[in-house]
This record gives sequence, structure tokens and C-alpha cells, in this order.
Amino acid sequence: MSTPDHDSPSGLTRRQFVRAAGASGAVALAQSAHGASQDEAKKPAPGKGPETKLPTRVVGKTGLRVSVISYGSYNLSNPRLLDAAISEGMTLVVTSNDYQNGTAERTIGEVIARQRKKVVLGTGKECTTQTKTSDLLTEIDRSLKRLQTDHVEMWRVHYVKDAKVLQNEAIYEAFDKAKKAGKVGHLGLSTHESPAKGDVVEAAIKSKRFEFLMTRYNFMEFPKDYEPFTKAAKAGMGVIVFKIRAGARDKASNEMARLQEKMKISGEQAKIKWALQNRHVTSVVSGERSIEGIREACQAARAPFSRAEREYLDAYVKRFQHEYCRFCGQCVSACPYGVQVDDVMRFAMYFKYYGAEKAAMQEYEALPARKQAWLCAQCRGDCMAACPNGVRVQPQLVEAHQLLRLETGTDRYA
Amino acid sequence: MHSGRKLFPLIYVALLAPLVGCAKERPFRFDREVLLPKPVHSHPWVEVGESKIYDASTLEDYINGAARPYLEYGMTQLIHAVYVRRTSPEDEMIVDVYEMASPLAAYGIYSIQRPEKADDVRLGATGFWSDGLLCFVKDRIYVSIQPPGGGPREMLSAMLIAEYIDKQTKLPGSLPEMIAALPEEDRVRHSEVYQAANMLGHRFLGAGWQATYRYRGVTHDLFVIPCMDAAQALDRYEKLADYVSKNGKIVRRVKGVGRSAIVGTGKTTGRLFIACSGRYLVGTVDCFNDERSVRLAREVIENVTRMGL
Repeated sequence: MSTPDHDSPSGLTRRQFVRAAGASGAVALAQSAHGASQDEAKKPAPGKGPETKLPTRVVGKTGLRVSVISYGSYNLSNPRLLDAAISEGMTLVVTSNDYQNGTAERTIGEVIARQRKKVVLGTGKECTTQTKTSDLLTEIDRSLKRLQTDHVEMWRVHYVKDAKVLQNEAIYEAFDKAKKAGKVGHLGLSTHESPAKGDVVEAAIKSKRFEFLMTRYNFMEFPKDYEPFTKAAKAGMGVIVFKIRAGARDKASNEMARLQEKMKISGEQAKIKWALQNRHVTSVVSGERSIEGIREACQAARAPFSRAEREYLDAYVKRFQHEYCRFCGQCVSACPYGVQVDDVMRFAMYFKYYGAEKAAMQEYEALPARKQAWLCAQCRGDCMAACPNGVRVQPQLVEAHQLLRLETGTDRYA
Repeated sequence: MHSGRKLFPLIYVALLAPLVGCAKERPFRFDREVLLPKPVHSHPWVEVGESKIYDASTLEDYINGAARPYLEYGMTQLIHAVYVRRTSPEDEMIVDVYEMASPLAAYGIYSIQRPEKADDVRLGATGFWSDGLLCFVKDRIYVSIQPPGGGPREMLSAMLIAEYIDKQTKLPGSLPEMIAALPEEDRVRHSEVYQAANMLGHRFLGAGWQATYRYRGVTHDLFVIPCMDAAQALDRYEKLADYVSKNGKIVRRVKGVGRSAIVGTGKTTGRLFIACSGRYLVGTVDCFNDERSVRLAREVIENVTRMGL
């Protein structure tokens, strides 16, 4: 790009930024050896990130210091929301080239044109095993144009579903070229992979190419000390997490709403605080769509995780755990009749909780009869023994079959 | 024989009656069997695998966080299908047919996806083609088709599928009336947006309309927030005025438009003009000409009154 050097978040010129991006790795590695890479601080170290009134943590070995709550822009179209987020102290803004076909990047661009110094920017692009270097370079340029900046501090391979994608050398070639040109700073990846199928995260850590990881993390599915995060941190990677709400079933539960009122806590804040307890988590992505929601999320970062909040999340787990099938599929191989247990459970969930009775019944109908739960009422329930989460599978399958069988339900939709 | 001849017309009518009943239009069904084209209709494109159905609980599995606005707009079902070109199967076309909660919700989700420079296409109530994306809306159905590229050939491919879905969607195709209440002069093309929640970024403002205007080379927004009644409008007006005064300042109070009107400014509000009239909140964002703000607000108030909205 032939645009003149302009300010990076730390007040560096683009040329200085390129040099700093290389040097900061070494500094941060030294910090991380002393266990300081994820230390929280009220104020960032000079030259390492924008000023903020939120607590900050360092993104692995990148040396970038960012707020512990970051702005997730997948639905952003109102620039005032980002203004409000920055005003509340969020200094990391994450986006992707495909969010709303570029609208999110364009909206960020409107704000960034005024406030570039205040934020660390991260964008990315989904790749396949066939993605070419030239395509990636073109897409990086397009992102920068929409973002109205000449560089982003963090660029990632977006939404990786298959570890094989990480073997595509074109990704690294494109990143290295863009980095040399001062257009990108640090390489990361994002994945929505479930913890039960940890291939992508493991592969990313092993590859030693990535400096940060963006992935799902919540109190319902993951242990507090989630081992892949520890491994990632040891490898010098920053960890940015999303999908922290664990299905947000409490939003539709009067019982849980009453509990929040009684305990005088916010369920949403409790979930953010839980995620931030893990010292390897650098930042929690919040995609709030209102100024009030942004404030609530930021308030969570400023207060400690209270006993009441812990108890609330325990109550949430207790209330929903035996219903909350994680669809890991471990029960399927245990079934003596070959029932597609995970699918049946999912269809029952659509029927019971989401008002999608018709679609659920259609999906169930589409399953081959041998994979439906015809025989579950007579079975000894090996699926329950196989479930790693203690979900009471068998009675739910029996109920599911009663709910989902089309011949009993047809009348309702005729 | 004689009586038989007399009976003949009756029998004839009795036999024809069910056929007449059949000729009546059947109610619209949101069903992949009905909506998605078969190979004979989509040639040279052919559907691969079985189309998937998502609902509000599973939409995130497909589009992750991008599902949130769809859920806000009350998405009920999505049929997701992938077509490939018979002669080159690596060319994929993604077809998504959404059923939304209402025609307004469908228009809303359509309106937020439509870029200013998109080309209009004659599909449903309204449709556009932009950079490899073809979308249209018809009643409560919103359709999005992504062919493998952005060229004219790909557009024609997308149109082939879209026209079939449009034909099969046997529902009325009219636009929301409120669009006509937004002043046309200086309005930026395709900027009329219906937001289902969080108008101006605030939960308490709920749903509303917004359009962008380019006046003397500078853009600003106009918003209209319909409330349940005048009391709710006043309550929201006061809350917004309170937010402005706490996060910026109220520059002046304006007389002669609605019950009450102010101009405020702040870091997270920009230059804001708000007027409360009847059950409506009307105003502008970042319009630095207060007279123009007042004129636009008056025009909107007159229009909604005249149209009986």
C-alpha cells in the first residue's frame, strides 16, 4: 500500500509498528517466562496498547495489551455502539471480512478514522486447504480499505473447522508477505470447535505458527482450568474467547430470572467473570447490541467474581445440565440398537425449548427408522452410562420419541 | 330414464364441486419440497446433499454470531441448500430461504443487508444484486443466494433459482407503508432500514426506522420510532433526553415541532435532534443544520398523520 505511515494504537508510525511487531515477541516471551504475560493491570505498559479504564491483559507473546472485554463486531452496523464500547474502555475490536459482507468492517472504519489510536484491531478471513496466497493478499487489502487503516495488529485464519486447513502453506506465505509490507502484525486463528473434538486447537498449538487463538469457552462445557488454554499459553499464544453464555437458557427461564433478582446479580455478568477467572484468557468477546449491554459487560470486568455469582452459575448448571446435551456423540456407540442418540436429543430440544415443533418432527421423520428411538423404553440405558456429562439420556429419548413421532403429531399441524 | 336425465346436471355439479375447490389457491407452505427448485427447474445447477432446516435455536450452528440479528427480527425457520454446476461441481451456489416472524421483520433483515450501490432486481416485493449476492423479500420470506462469483453469468444463475422461489412463494409482495412516510428528497438510495431493536443503540427505544440523507455533500440520519401510545413515546423521549444530558449536553430546546423537542450533543450520541409527537419519536443524528432537522421531523409527522399510520 502506498498510503503514508500513520499512527498505530501505540502512537507508532507504520514503519515503527512493523519493527515493534517483530521485537515485541521477544519481550513478551521474556515476560511470559516470568509468568507475567497475562497479568492484569489498570494501565498498559507504555507503548504496548491504548489507554483504557478497563483491566487489561497481554495477548500471549505479541506484547499487545488489550482490555479484558473486547468488542465482537459480527453484527455491527451502528457506529455509535462502537463509540460507546471504546468510551467504556474496550480497546480490542475483532471483526472478519465476511461479517455482513463487509458492513462490519466498514462501520468500524467510520469509527477508526476518528479513534485509531484507541484500539487494537483484529480481522481475518476464512480459508480452505485450497486458498491461494494471492487471494488472501487481495482480501487483506480489501479489509484494510473498509477499515480505513493501513494495518491491523491481529490477523487470523477465521472459522477453522478442519485442522487440515492449517497445513495450507499459502496462508503463512500470504501472512508473511503482508507482515513484511506492514499490513498485519500477528497471526492467529479462530474456531468454534467443541472441546470434545479438539483437533484444530491442538494442531494450531503444535504448528507453532500462531500467536493467538480465538475460541469458545463457557462454564457449562469447559473446566475452569481448560488444558488446551494452558498449553496455548505455554506456547506463547494469547487466548480470546467467545460464546460464553452457554446457550443463555436463563433468558427464557422465569425461575432463573427470579434467582438473579433474589441474589442481586446479573447472569450475563457472572458468565463473563467466570471466563475471566482463567488467567490464560486474555479477553472475552462481547457482541452486545445496545449501549446498556456494553456497559453491563464492562462493569463485569471491573468487579470480582462473587460467591453469589458462583452459586448462580452452579444453579444454572444444576438446572440445565441433565437437559443440556453437548451433542458429543459418545452415547451413540454405546447404544445396542444403533439409535442416533445425539440427533434425537437435538430434535427433542428444538421441539421442547425453541418452539420449532414442526421442524423437529420433520427432522426426526427424516432419520431412518432404525436410528429413531423406538426401542428405548425397553432398553437398559447404556447411553446414560456412556454420557460423560451425566445427562439422563434414556428417559429423554423415550419422551423424545413420544413427542416427535409424526403419526401422533400430524393432527396438530394438519 | 326421464328422471335420470333430470338428475344428470345435479350429478355433474356434484362431481365438479371438488375440482372447483381444488382450483382455489392452497395456503402457502414453508416447505423445501415446495420452495426449492428440482433439477429440471435449476438446470444446469443441481442440489447436492439434502437441504438443511435451521430454526432459532440452531441458526448459530450455521452462521454463528451473525445469527443474532436474525433472532432479533424473529427468524422462525431457514432452509439452507447448496447447488453445484453440473459441469463443474466445484462451483457452489448457496441458497438460504428464511421465514421471518412477519413481513416487517423480513423487510428489516433484508434492509440491513442491502448496500447503497446494489442493483435493484425485480423479485418479490423488492430485491437486489450486489457483489455476488442476490437477495429479495416477499411478505415474511427473505431469500439470500450466493453464487460462486460476482459476474453477470453468476447473477443469471442466481436469478434462475431466485425466480423459481419467488414464483413458489405464493404470498403478497408489498413494501411496508412507513417507507413512503420518509421524505424522499436527498435520501440516500437503499438507506431505509427497519431495526427490530436497540434504535440508536438503546434497548429502551425498541424498534424503529432509520434512513440516511446526503444534504449539501454531508450525510446524516433521520429516525422514526413508533411507540404503542403517546405516553410510551413521551417516556422514551425523556429517557433519551436524560441519556444525552448525562453523556453530553442539551444544546437547546426547540419549539413548534411536536409536544417537545431538543437538540443535544455528546461523544456517543453525535449531534442529536429529538422530537416527540403523538405516539412517535422523530429526530436526526449528526445533522448540524437544526432548521433542516425540524423541517424533516415536521414532514415525517405530517406524513404519518396523513397516512393514518
